[in-house]
Amino acid sequence: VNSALAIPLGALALSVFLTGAALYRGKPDIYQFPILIGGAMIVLALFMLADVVMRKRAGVVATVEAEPLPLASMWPAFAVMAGLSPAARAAGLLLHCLPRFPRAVDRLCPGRTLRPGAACPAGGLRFRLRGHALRRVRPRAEGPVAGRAFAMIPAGAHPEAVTPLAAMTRTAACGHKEETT
Amino acid sequence: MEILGYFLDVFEPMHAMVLVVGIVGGLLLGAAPGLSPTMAVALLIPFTFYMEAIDALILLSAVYAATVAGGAVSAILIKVPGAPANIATAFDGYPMAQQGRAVEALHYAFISTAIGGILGMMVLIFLAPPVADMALRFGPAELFWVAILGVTVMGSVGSKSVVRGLFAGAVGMWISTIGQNPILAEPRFVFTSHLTGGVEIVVALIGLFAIPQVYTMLETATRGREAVVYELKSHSLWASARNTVRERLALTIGSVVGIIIGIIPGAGGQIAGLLAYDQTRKLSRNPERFGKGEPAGVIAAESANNAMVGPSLVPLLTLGVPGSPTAAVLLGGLLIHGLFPGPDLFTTHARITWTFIGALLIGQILIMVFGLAISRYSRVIMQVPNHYMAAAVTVLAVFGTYSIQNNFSDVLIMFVLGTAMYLAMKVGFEPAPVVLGIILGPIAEGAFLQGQMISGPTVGALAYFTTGPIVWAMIGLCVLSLGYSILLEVRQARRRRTRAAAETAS
Repeated sequence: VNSALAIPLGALALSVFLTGAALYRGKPDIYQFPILIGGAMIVLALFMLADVVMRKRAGVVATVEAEPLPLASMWPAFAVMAGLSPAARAAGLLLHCLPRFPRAVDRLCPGRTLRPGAACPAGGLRFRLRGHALRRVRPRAEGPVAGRAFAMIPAGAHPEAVTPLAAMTRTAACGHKEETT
Repeated sequence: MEILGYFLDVFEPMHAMVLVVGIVGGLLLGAAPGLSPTMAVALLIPFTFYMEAIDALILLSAVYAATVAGGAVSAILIKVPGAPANIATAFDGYPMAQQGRAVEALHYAFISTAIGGILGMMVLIFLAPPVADMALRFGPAELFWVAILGVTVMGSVGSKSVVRGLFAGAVGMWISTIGQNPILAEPRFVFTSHLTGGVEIVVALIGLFAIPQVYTMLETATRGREAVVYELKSHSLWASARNTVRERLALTIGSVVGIIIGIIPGAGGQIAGLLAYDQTRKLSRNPERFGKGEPAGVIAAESANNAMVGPSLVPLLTLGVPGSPTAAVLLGGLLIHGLFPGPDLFTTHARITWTFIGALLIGQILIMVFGLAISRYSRVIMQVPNHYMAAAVTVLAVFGTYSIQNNFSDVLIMFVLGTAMYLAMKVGFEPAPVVLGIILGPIAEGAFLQGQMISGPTVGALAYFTTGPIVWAMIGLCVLSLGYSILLEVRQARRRRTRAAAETAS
């Protein structure tokens, strides 16, 4: 399952399970309200699913949002999550240059390269896959933990194919160019 | 003049001392996660048995108002609301603290608390009879739509996506159905004996907010000192007062929403802060700033949750109908001292009643004074390294949860909910809509089932739930609230796309 689809599918499965559990008990007076809620949850989960499917058809798989993660031991879990799709795995290439506790992206960029599945030398990184995408790679500075990078990964992209994109992200986020691995 | 004389009785040494003790104690209790206003008042009732009725009521009411306000301290400093009423305070208060503006955020919280609280007390003092009449008009149909209005807010509180917010809220409502059916008392979704009593709101609140925060603190604790200790900026109190008064929109919305929610019996003050926060964000010129440290967010939430204190006592004092769980416990305090709510309270026991109301009014000012004094010491809390803070929050969370019903199952439920929420937060869900769902679920279901039974087969449930001016006003507000949330999200998405396109072009 594509990682972008995992959340709405999970939500749908949860809704169906809860509604099914209520219906299975067969006591309409007691389970009337839970069944109503379950129905609403199914509709909402279908909305989430439709959103992802529409974006996928538009040629966009996921947005990758990267931000500092200090606990290096958490990294493998996220790496596994990222490894669910080639596009997401490729996205790992984009995640190397985010500052540890940044105030300005260009000031604190450690400038190291992170391979997917490896811990960031700057203290670890995490990324979350979102069901939508932005138009281009761009750094964002918001709040005290600035320096998030977003990237659009084309559907079915091979990791190698997005290397230029990764370089672009680094340039944009770190303010300087460097070699990619 | 006579009433003014009763108000001055508050300054008698014994009454004044009880008031100050109640305010300071309430602020400290409120700041501890899990010690909700209802629990604080309930715990104090046995201590008031041997006190004079007037001192007992002053103590209980001071603790009630101060715990509501005190919850803002932990919401702002550690993102763990002291009580459900302070959930919305954490949305902007905590980001402000992260930016080194904890003192400023606490200033806004306590100044707006006093303003909202005083306005709410004015309603209690001057408008009690018409307000009591209005409270009586709220039957199950009206209350059901109030709950649905709260549901529409779920989509936009704390969540970046309306659909995800609504889904999280629906999960919360489902969690609230665990336990016993409110009418037939038959068990539902009780897969294990730990769930027999259902999921208590405060247990869920602590689990969903405190436990993910503990995990997050442990994550950041390994990051090194510079990542954990926030730079703290001092802030002039006068500048804070000026800024609070300048935020007229937030103050007005907060106070009005707080007063209206306070009047409605059964709605409880817990949703006042969230509703006020949401409406302020929607009507603000800069809605995108909310959630990132916008003072108006703190002001709206805090003015609302204390503005509801006065009006929530109107149905209690005039009709004997408690408007909130805390008011129900206060009713117990009144009855213990031989005071029966109704007209007698304002005639036969006028001195006690008006001194009690006066103490609440003066208490609002004292809350601000002591709260501002406490805010100076927020520096101490903000400079505690995260690994110590995580341990302290865990201890408080376990004690707070266990003390609600002296039940270890609650502690287990808290940890399970918290861990699940932590994982859900990793994929973009937020705890606020879930808690709101847990709060609104029983209100909506209770009103829904009551309405169904009242309507019977002749009138029909559909007709019952769609008849009456208040019902239609509430339906209109629900449509407006949901429609505006969707419009806001579409606008923000469009703005993001335009900005991205402009960056590409440049």
